[in-house]
Amino acid sequence: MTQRRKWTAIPGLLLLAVGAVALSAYSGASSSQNNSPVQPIAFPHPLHAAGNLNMNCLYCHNTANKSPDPGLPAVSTCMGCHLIVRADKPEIQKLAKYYAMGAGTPVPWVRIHKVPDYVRFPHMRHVNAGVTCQSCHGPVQQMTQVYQYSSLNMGWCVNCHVNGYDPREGLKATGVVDTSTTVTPDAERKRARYDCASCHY
Amino acid sequence: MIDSPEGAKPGVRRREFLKVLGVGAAASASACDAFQDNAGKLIPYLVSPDQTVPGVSTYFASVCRECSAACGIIAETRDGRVIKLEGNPEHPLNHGALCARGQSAVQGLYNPDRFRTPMIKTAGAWKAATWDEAIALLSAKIVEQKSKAGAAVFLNQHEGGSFPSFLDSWLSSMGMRPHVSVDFEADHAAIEANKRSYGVAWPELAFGQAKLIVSFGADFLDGWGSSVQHQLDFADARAKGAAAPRFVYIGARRSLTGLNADQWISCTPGSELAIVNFLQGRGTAQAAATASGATAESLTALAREIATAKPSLLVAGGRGENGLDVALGVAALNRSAGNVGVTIRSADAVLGFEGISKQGDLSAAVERMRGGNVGIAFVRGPNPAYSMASSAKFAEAFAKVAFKVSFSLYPDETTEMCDLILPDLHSLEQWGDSEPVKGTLGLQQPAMDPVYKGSRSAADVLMAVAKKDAAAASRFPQPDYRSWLIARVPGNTATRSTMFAKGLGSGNITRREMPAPSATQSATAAAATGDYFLVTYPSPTLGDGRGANKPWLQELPDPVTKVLWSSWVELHPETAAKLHVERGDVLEVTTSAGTVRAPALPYLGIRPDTVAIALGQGHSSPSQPTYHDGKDTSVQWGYGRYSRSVGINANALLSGATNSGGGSIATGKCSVTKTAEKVQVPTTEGSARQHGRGIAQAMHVSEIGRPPAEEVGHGKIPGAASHEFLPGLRSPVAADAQGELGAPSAKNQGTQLGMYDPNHPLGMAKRRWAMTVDLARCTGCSACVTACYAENNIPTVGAPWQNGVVYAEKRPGFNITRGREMNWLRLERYYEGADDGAFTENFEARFIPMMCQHCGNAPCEPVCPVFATYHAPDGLNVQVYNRCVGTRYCSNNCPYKVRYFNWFGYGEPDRIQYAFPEPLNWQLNPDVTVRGKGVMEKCTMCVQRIREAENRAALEKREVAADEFTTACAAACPSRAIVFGDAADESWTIQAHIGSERAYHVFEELNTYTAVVYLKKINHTTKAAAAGEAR
Amino acid sequence: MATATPPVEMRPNIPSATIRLPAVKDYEQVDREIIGTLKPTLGWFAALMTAIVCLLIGVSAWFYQVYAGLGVAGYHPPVMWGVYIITFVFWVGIGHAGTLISAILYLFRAGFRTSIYRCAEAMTVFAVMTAGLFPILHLGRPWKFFWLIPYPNWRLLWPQFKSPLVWDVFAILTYLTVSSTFLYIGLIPDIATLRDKETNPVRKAIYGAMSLGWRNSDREWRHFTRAYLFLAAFSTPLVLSVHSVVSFDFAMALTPGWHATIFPPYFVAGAIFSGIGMVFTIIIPIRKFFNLKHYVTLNDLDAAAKMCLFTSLVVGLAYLTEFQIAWMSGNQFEKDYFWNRLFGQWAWAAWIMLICNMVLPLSLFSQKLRRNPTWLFILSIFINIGMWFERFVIVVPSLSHEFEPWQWGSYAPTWVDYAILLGSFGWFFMWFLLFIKQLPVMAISELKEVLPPRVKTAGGGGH
Repeated sequence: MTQRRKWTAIPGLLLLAVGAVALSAYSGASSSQNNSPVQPIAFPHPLHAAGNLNMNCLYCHNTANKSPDPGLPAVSTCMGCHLIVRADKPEIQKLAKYYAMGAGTPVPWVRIHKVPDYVRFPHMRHVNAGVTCQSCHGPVQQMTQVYQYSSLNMGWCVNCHVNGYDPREGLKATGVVDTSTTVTPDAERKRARYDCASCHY
Repeated sequence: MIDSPEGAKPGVRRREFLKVLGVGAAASASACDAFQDNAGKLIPYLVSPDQTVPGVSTYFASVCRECSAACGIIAETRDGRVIKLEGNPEHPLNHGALCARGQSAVQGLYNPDRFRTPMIKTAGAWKAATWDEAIALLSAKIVEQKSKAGAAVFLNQHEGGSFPSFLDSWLSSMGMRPHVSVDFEADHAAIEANKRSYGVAWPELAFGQAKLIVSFGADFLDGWGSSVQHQLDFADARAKGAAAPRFVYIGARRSLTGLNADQWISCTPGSELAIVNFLQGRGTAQAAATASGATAESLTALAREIATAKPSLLVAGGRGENGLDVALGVAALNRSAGNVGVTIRSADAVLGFEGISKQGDLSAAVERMRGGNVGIAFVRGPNPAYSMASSAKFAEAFAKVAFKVSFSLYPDETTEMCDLILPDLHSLEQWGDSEPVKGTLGLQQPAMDPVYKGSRSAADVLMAVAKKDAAAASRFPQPDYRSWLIARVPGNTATRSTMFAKGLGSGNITRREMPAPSATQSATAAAATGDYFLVTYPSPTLGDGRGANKPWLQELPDPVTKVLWSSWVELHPETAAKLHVERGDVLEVTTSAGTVRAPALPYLGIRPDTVAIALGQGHSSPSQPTYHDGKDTSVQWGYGRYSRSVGINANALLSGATNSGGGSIATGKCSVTKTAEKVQVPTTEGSARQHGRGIAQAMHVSEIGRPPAEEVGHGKIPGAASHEFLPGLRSPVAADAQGELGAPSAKNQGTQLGMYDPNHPLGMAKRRWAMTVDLARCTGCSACVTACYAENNIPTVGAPWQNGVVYAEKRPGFNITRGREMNWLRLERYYEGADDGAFTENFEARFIPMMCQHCGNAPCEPVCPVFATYHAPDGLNVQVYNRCVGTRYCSNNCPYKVRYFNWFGYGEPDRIQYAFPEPLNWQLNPDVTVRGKGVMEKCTMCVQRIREAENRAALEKREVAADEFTTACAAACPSRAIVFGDAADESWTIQAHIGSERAYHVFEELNTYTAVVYLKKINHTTKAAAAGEAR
Repeated sequence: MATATPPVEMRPNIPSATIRLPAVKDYEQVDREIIGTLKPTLGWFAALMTAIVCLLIGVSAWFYQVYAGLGVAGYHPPVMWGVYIITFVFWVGIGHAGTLISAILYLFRAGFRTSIYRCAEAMTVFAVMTAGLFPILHLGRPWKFFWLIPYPNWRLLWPQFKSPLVWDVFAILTYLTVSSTFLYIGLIPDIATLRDKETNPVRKAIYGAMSLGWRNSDREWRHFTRAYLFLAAFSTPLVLSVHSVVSFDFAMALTPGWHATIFPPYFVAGAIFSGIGMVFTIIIPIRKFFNLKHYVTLNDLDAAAKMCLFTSLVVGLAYLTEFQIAWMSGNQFEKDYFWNRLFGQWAWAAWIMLICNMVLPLSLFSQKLRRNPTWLFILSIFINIGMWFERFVIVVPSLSHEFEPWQWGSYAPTWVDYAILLGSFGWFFMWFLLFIKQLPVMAISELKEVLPPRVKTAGGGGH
């Protein structure tokens, strides 16, 4: 009798399990996180954005603080230095081939960070709010090949808009060593409006 | 889909680059430099080029070439593509407004049926050619022509500015006679009369100064003359309330202009002259009445009114047989009434209408061609084989020409007859200039790279040809037309650069001296056969037919009949009853010149003895007789996929005879017979009556300032929300989002409102976006509708192939006969009076733009199971497309029925229903999501513009300033009827309107707390007429 | 109603009589005859195939609709809901009689339920299964239907609990669960009987598993009756709640013709009415082709017909009340709408509804007709049609004639709508046909209860 009862519980449990799996599969957890495609030119961020060059992100992505669109450097910008510097390196020669003295084609970089078409992400609002690039894009200055650092899921966005962005966390992300253990007071966390129409329209 | 117009050849041109990479950040990589080498050192209107930022719009001032008036436009470009046109606020004609046709210029620019390359016809077959071949062929033919010394004909679409004189000098250098400057929309008789009476082709009509406006069939709101300018001025006049001028319209048919009149005096076509004579004191009222079919009382009353109301403004249209006499008589009336110089100002004449060749000149050219001694003919712009009255006659004459060259962008009827096609650039791609009013220069500068590398500026082609000829070459030293033009621009580089920036400068353009007009034929009127008067008129939306290839204009309901994607025959319900005709019965209309078949459309605003047909539809092609199937990528003859075989061409009914004013006669006599066929006329009109529901409300001028009658029942029910909208609208949104509970008066207000809390730290509820629509200003012109389509990526759904489902037939407007149009903003036209359909002059039309009312207490919100529609704290009723699952419950629960559903994948490129075939999709606004199938959409109050303004403000570390930006509809409105703003901030203009005594909410009794406030229309009807009207 | 002929002749056994199934001699006969119905016949196969074909037509039409977009259906804004919602409400309605008959009548000890309740219950389950499909397949983006279900997700979003559509999800799922449980519990003893009679080992094993080891012991019977009673009591309120919730889809909206407080009772009555109609449609053929006339006696039909008549009167009252309220409301929108419903563009539909649901059932005042299976069958068909049109009249005219005259429209279904409607019948009857050949269409155990108890012979005997 008793084991019969257990036995009859099985189909029910199975059903629940199936349902749970289906839902979690649909729950938006899927993401292209950690996607790291090979670029037409193996551009080494560490060489430029760290080390002794230590260039500012905005030098190349020069509209990130004034446009929704962060901007990619024009090939001419690269060639500004590389006409001379390291001109013998194979990757640079690739670059030069693309440029072809202004008569060529732009480098077809492969896109990594992409939000869907129905999402508006104004870079300048975030950059000017003091959100460091690394808070979302991760330690790009250490990535020999750039990969998608964050999930870019809606939950991930909303979390920051609602609970606020901690400037100190942002700084840490850039590599600043911060040993103090005190937590940022709630007031200093930067929050942003979170109704749907802020991003979806 | 059509293959990329760019082909696959490499180059720094950023558009191919886009094609490779798709949209997004990468697209901006070479945008700046590409932009500069493409468009040169153009100084944009708002941002200077060194600050040109990818992802941020750049603005170019230019000139609109959609009609002869040449308004000023500002082209918004994003990453090198024009995405939107708006009026130039500093332009003397349109002051920032822009009509529907002007808006649609971008669809001419991105028209998928534009020629990609030059084409040569050999043995009746078209072959794509290179420019070298084409130009070589052309110069060869010209040389040949010179040797034969036969006559050449150059038909050019009329435009002001320098090009006409450039063209003439080129022609003379080639030993050819000056060109014919064609404008089929021009009212030649009126122009002639203006020249004789006021010394200018088109004086400024100062409606604002007049105390009385009388129009003798002059449809100044339907595209007669510089209609945007007229409309701005007319709306200002009408908005004066008690001081506003009364408007009397005299004619056989109530056009859009006629529907805006306070009084309609109906007279048979052509009999306006009798009335004018009477008003001039010749003949008795009775005589005039019998001659015209109007009532003697109304005529005497009119005479009295003209005598007393000074200054007045009398305007006359002259498309009739005796058009010139009418116009001259009216001019005389104006003079005697002392209006000249007061309401009719020659000083600020619209110069765009100078230098239009008379219809007579065109006819003469046609006769020369028929004579057979014309060796070569050029056509740049006009489409006489379609647009000319009795177009068949033109065709046969044109066929006699040995070698025919077309500079047309589109595969129209005339071009199909030609032997060589040299596709011109669109006016948004090339250089030009205009002189809108005396002393002001309007600069037409390219806003972007040519969409198709295969097209080339006609001016440059002509210069290239000239350079092959030693004699002519000396005349044109400049490398290209641009430098030729810039050389003529007065002033130094500094003044020029500001001129580039503003698109406007000071100076004059020396106009070509017109050749002596060829003897205008005597007005051989169509033999008066048939028992009905026939009136044909240029469509307010499609013009003389050149708008027909633009889906926005096809999908824009005719402002009067609300019919779209179709032709129709207007006749009065009485006449219809007499002929046992119902709406949709196909009628056969026959004149001495020809016959057409079109569905009947009973219309209150036409005399029972008259039928009317609009021009503009019925483009056709002998080689491709049927509709486009949505896939065919070959050249779409018959003026492109959107116009071919849609409706009928009423020009076939006209004899082509010209009146003494030199314009072709658009009226005549016809016989009407009913056929067995019956079709469904596509229309957006449900019921033309309000059934007393107070949607479009009006008040008589005498009621202004009088306290409104006490409404019964309001606020009587205990606990009922107050019907006072002002507190609701002024207070932060949460208050009215939750009805009385959230009202400032209520307890715990603000404490439990979450993000709706006006004191929320993030300030989400700080603003309350709202809109007012002044029905006293609104003329129903529908420019706002097209502006909305352009701004919000709204798909057009009426093309014959867009109901691409298994069972359905291909028919233009099929989806719309199923009520599936997507017009977020629609213009409703309700009739008041004449309920029994019997003929009367005393009925009123009310126009009301209806868009999402952004209810503070929206019925659509609580019923959406997934929160896809919800109330934003700043007062917007938001539709989140990507959350929508498509239950359509929101639409069911919307009292205003302003929600639109994507029944098909109109936004999905791989579908037959795709509304933006390449390159039309280049116009899509990158700030607005293109909706996929299965989701609901609606007016967003241009939330993208709100966000853009907020972003800009944040960037500049400031608050959004009052009236800093507005919605697309408000920006375009040529009546300035729509005002958008923040109802929670006293400093915005909208505040004044919300407080108006005329303000009301539609369906206020439903407690929806709408954010759109309408201002009642003001009627200036005489008491007699007012009696016939419901309020 | 009085009749000339002596009652005993005319009515050999009235429900209160001790002998309710005179033609049934003993338990073995019950087992034999009822289990006998499980033998597949050619006619049954034909019917099943027809049902499956209909289903396939519907399914392919739906695939086409999902691919091409909802535009292939006849929607004509402002009529944003059409055949699918109509059919949804229709099937939910059908799904009511079952629980009513088996649960409520059980509580009221109504004798005539015994022979028909099994069919009715099965019908309920399958009808709800059918209805449940429509809210999904009428969606613009059906693949997102699960957004209506509250589940933890990365978007940190929940459904809008204010929306009647979300209530629907709960109501339908609850009802489906409870009614199928109820059906299954009731089946257990019969399955046990089948198990015992079955010779084919495979089927025997399956029946064995399904019977949950029922051994017919007194203890089991004691628990069984308690459980059955409890479930009956538990599902009774559901009968009322589910269709009330469905009616909220309309009543909660502003739309004239929907926005009425009468809707919940009105819908429940209509549902029961339509359910009984469908019971007739199903039980009468079964009674004939499985020749079970001596189980489903004329008395039973008579009693059911009376219930049908009663609910018909309730529904008719509701119709009239609607008109009367609109008439006296002083609300011009309501007035216009109801005038349009009765005499306007939708008059034909409204009159079909009124005649089928209000007028024809009045014939049941005649006992002759009540006891005439043929007439009951014909009538039941009319009732099914009429009830479908009742929902049509509620959904379509209201939407086509709303507040905004400029947006007044019309509506005409396309072949896709019809194909999917057909498919729904295919789906329903497929399940039902499969059911009647796998499980007894009448409750063997309960039928035995109403037989005169047999005298135990020495050596006992099987049951």
